[in-house]
Amino acid sequence: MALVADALSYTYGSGTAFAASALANVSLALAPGELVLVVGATGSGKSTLLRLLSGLLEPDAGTVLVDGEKPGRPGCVGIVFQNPETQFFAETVLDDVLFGPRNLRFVDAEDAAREALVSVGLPVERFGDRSPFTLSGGEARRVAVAGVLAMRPAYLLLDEPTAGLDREGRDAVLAAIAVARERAGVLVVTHDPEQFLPVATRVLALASGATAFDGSVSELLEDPGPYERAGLALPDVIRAQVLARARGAAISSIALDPVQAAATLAKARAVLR
Amino acid sequence: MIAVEDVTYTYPGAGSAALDGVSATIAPGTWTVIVGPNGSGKSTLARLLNGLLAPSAGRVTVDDMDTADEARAWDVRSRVGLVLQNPDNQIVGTVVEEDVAFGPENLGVPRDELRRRVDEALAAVRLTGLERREPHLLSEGQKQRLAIAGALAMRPAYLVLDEPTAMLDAEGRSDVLGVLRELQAAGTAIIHITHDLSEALYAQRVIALKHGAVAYDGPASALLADDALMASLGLEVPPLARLVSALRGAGLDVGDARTAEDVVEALWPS
Repeated sequence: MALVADALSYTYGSGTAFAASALANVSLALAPGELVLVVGATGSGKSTLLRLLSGLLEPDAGTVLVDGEKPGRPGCVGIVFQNPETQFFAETVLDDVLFGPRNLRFVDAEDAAREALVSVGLPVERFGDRSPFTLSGGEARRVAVAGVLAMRPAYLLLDEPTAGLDREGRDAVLAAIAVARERAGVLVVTHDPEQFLPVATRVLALASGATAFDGSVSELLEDPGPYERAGLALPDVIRAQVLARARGAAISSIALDPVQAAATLAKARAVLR
Repeated sequence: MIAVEDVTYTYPGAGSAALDGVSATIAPGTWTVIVGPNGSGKSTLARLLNGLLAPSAGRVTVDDMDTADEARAWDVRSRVGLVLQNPDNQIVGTVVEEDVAFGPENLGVPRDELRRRVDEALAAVRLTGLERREPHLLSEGQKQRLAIAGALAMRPAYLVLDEPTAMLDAEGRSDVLGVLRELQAAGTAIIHITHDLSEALYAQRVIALKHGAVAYDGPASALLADDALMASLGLEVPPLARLVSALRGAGLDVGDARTAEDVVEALWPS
């Protein structure tokens, strides 16, 4: 059981004068319970990868297999695009979230919608009858995420799920991801990996359509060189320790948490003296 | 100066006010950051500053012009530029230079002057050379800088930006912030709405909104030091600021460090 992408390549406008390679020879595997982070600058191929994994695009070379089958089985791979709240169409929050499970002919569509709304912290009793167009930005994002969760996907792909949210909205989306992960594999595309690093199982960094780094979070912290050479910015707290190490500070393991990082730096400096 | 005087705004049909009795003044050439949770009234305030919305009660004046005075609407909007979060919703031209020219062209700015303004605006946002590029071929960071250029072509004294970096990657974000710093150095007042307090470290002043009212108005440092207020505003101390304060707690003073480089330079001078 896994979502497996093997050696994917994709070129937009293939065969025309405007052909532009977006992705070359990228592989990844996502198993239930995992959280894979895909990072990379704008234009690095993240969105193309997401479209290939969900079956919206067919790769020019390589394969995508979802539990051993070609992608496309409705509801199996859930995808939350950037700013999904711009796609509401129903008159109430509940109807909008119900759209997916009803189309999939779930006998318990209403339960699926309720569970999904609860998991994003918006109980149906309070929010079900609201018009989705009157929600705050953070609430709207959570309803859009709930709309995908309600289809109970085995694999959940999220493109910048926390961009533009305040702390409360972001924490609610992170909590919903944690719940979804209990039964699904989750892949998050983000510009801002800091918030996901403590819970991620694997990081895939793309640069100009190719894999610049692929490994666990601890492997990334051990040797962030390839990640940085790909032009990706490490979070400040990690970078401070990497820079200190470059100046001769004896730092064996890099901390993610600012308070632990301060202790690490303080200890390294004491040794120096 | 922009003066917001006891302003209340209620959206048509809404039960409660989005802004309720807000007062603040913004001086020319300054950098002000506006923060607050989703739904606190930040975007409403942005739209009141350039007259896109008129107050339900109270008054907003821009260099002594009342924004509710329809006869002055264009003067107000040329003095206060507004850039929104999603650049795709703000780009109208089929090529970059046409998009930048759209505002001043509508005001009847003569051709030579128009050319000069477009070139200056594109130079200010570092898009010179892309005049004939189609906007949809630009990166997201370039698009947002194009949206800023469109506002700059109106030669505004004040530039209001509603979460201009929310959709950008690290590089796009630092490009946009770099452009804003240059604009401020050249005399444009920056009013920057953001969720990201690490961006507030550049500001002279932070205004925090909560439930449509001003909950804080002062320097960023005092806000960052007030844990209870930060939490009640749904704001998070940026990780680097937490690192700096934890270092201080461990007896290591790294001063006013704003970057990872500053921290390391203070601890291990090169």
